[in-house]
Amino acid sequence: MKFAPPVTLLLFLVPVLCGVGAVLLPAVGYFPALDLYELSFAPIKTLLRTPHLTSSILFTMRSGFSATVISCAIVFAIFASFSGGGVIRSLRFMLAPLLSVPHAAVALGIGFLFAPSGWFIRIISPSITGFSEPPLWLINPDPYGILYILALVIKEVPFLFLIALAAQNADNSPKALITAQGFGYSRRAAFFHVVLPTLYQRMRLPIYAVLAFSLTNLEVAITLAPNRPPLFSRFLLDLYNAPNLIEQTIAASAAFIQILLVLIAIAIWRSAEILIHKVWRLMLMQKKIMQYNGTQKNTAQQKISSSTKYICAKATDISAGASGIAVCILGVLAISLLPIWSFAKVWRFPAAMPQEWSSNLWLEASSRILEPWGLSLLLALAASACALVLCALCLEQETRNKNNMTEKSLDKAIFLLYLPLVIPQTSFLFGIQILLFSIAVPVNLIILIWAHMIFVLPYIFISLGDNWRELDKRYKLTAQTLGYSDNRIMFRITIPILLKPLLTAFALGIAVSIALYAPTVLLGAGRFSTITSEAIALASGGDRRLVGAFALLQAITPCFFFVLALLIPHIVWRKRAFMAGYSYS
Amino acid sequence: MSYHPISLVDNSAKKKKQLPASKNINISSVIKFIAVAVIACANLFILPAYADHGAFHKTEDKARGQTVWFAAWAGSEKINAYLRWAAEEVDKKYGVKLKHFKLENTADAVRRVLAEKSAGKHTNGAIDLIWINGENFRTMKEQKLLFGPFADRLPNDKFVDHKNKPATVLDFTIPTDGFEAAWGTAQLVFVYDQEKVAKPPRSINKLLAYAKQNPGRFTYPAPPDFIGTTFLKQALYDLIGDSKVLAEPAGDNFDKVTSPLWQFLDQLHPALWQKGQNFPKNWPKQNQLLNDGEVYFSLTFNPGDVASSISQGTLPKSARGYVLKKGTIGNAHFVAIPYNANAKEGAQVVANFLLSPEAQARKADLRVWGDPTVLAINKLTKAQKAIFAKIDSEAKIGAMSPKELGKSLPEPHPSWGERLAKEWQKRYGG
Repeated sequence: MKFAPPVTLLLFLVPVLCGVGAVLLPAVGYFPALDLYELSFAPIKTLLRTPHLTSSILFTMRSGFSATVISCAIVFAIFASFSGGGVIRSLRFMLAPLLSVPHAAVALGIGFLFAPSGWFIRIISPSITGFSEPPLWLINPDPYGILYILALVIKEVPFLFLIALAAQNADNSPKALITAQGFGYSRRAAFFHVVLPTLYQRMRLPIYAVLAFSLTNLEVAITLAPNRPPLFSRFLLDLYNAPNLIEQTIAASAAFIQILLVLIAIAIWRSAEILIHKVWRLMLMQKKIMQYNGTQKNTAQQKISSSTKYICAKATDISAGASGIAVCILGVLAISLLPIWSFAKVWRFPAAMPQEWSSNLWLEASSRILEPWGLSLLLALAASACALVLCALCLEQETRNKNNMTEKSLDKAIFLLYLPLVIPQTSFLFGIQILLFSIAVPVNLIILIWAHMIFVLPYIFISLGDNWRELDKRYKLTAQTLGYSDNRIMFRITIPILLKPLLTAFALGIAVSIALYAPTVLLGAGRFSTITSEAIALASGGDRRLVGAFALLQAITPCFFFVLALLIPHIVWRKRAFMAGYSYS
Repeated sequence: MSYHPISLVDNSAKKKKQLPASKNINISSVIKFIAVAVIACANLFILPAYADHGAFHKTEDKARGQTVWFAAWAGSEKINAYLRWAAEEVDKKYGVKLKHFKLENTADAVRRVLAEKSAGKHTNGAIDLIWINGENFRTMKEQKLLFGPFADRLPNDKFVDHKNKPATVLDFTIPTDGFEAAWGTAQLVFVYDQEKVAKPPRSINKLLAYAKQNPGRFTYPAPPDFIGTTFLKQALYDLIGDSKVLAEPAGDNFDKVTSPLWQFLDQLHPALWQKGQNFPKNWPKQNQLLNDGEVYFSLTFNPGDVASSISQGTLPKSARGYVLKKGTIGNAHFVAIPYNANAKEGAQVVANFLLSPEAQARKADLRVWGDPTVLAINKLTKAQKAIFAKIDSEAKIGAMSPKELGKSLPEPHPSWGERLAKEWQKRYGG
């Protein structure tokens, strides 16, 4: 048990750090394959001279921050307005499936909704608009990257929402909310004063992960982002794909800049956190002082302010609810149009539904979909199971250390698990690849499972961590008093109580693994094809129908496990309702 | 209108037929094998010129049982299906297992070989055969990442039409020197929607006039996409008239030679789709825009693509291909073997099979792929010619005859494409 945290970190940090190292060396001019052995800053200098670099970086920062801020705002607004209510529960059911849909599919679906020849214009054409041809509007992609940001928000809101839900339950914040309301605070005020500060602390790392993803992703960028100026990730991809090999060194220095970019963005975000915290505190103090001095507003003013307050409150409620529902509807529409495409033969503007149908695609696909699907499942199950066991052991060790207080622990270092979420994938995977060649490891399934685990583990850790840490210590205490050993307590008490969060974390792991592309392709040496690697290889051909078919498979597979994660606790604990519902509800 | 979308139907029907008859095939393939062996032996004595075929038998023997990983772009389902068919055939004929190493971009494979070299992995590389041409070939050849020469030693190389298809030995002006074996030819084809465009503009200047009259309906994939870059080269050809300068590497004359192109693009861009502020990522995306009705034109490098895309539904039935009056750029695509390939013999056997009249004819069949052959039909035997006669190359909507394609222009030296793409990104990329 003691070895769990160091072993986990070792399994993790070695490949990640080596990968980063192996990709950064070319950035400073060391690249044996091209007979470059001397350190030089020429690649970086060349990169800095590349036209449009600054505008690309600024655009990347702007859209990345916008997507993250908007996603956070929507999630916090929803919680502020509806905490503890049925709205949260029903939103959860609507948002959970979106979590399992790959980014690329959502991007493609959103593109088809909003394009000048897209579905929204089709349903009102030509009847209302009079368009018999798609209008010449600058949307999809639009010059400001609004669609790109929208697609990111649609994918990130469900993630942050579920994380917030987990964190909130771990915090016991519903009770705090009720207490605060008992003191006469409105629900929203109670949320912002009492719940948000602790909730935010728990969500900080996931939010950084969202920020890093928004800054570096390619899946959404390729489909929806405008190419003037290009997003930095796309800029990097073009350098990587350049046929002139010397550009690899420039690509490597761009990868280095991308890592810097993420670190700077996180630093900016962190400074903003501190600033807001300071200002908030100052405002509270001021209020206190005013109350203490007896400075009171007159009743008329109070009346106005209370009615404005009421209107403001209602407005927040409505906009929070509306944005939540909009995310759901747009997301669901985006992903349900793609399967329709997979049955379409002819579907031209302005028809809102296909004019000619065909099931050829599915007939043909069914014969050869089983193998990649099987491999996807195998990888997902194995990687998630390993990651789940490692996470559980680490968390158990952490809680035991906390109880003993005497032992020094690696707890602090555990945040390093989030590195793979923050460091751009392509950067360090290329490095890992070189590393694997040099130690002459043949391509095999174990390596692939390991690679998937590196990406799955942080998500499982995020999802499981708070539930495990915040489990009421009195259960353990009671068991200890009854003479149970630590291990027995874990198997008899902790795991059964945490069955539901464990299963949910497992399902989340499966969703992450199924959607992984780069690790499968880069480390699998083309030997292994999963439904996602097939889908992306086909998507480069741009056929919406094929992508639709694969996206459907990609989406329903994790969905199945999410449903299991909901059902199993209810079946196992059918006579113990509280156990079945522990957390996440 | 009873044509079927390519392989989808064909393959499944074939499989059903083949299963019960597999025994017969074995016997007949044995007979065939003996016949081939006899003929090959006879060749050894009668035609010393083909003595190589004897040597190639040794390669075939060594290849038996090898697994060949073929790194090829996997973005087109019809090409993937063709490779599955080829895999069945080489397994049956030579006992070679052919596996498709699916790529999203050929540069990925170049990088992989490079990464292997950089890690000192000089044998047992992950890729045995790679689908390649142009700049990627130049890179690999210059960096000595290729095995060879092998192409001229392939028995089926004698059928290749090196004389009339010079692109099969000069890949973007770079001599192939036997480091890659020809696989197919290609020519830039403009695609237009017959329903929307009455008379397609057959020169670059007419195209500009058309775009100005009908703003927003023309575009091209953003360079460095290879079709986008080819469009730039094509426009340059059409604008400067003198093409000799393009056969030499681009040097100090680059600015002077290309200035008419930038003037043209400066005028064209405001009249493009999305006012030239955005460009489609690649030609399949542009096909999709055409199918959606947002643009009236698309571009492709495969003259058979229009017909097969129509039957697949990725292009509308009113899509047609055309070329410019002065001709369009044509090139060839090849297969090459990385220097550290694990199954070099198997890779040569596959390369040879891909050049066989049987494989080439099937590739040219519009129901399968529609990629024009590199072979000279008049070099073939009567029986081999018959295979080509059977294929469906013109019977379909959107198919283009060789006459319609006209003459193809040679690719400029790769340095032009590279610098054009760079300059384009500098001017219009941000």
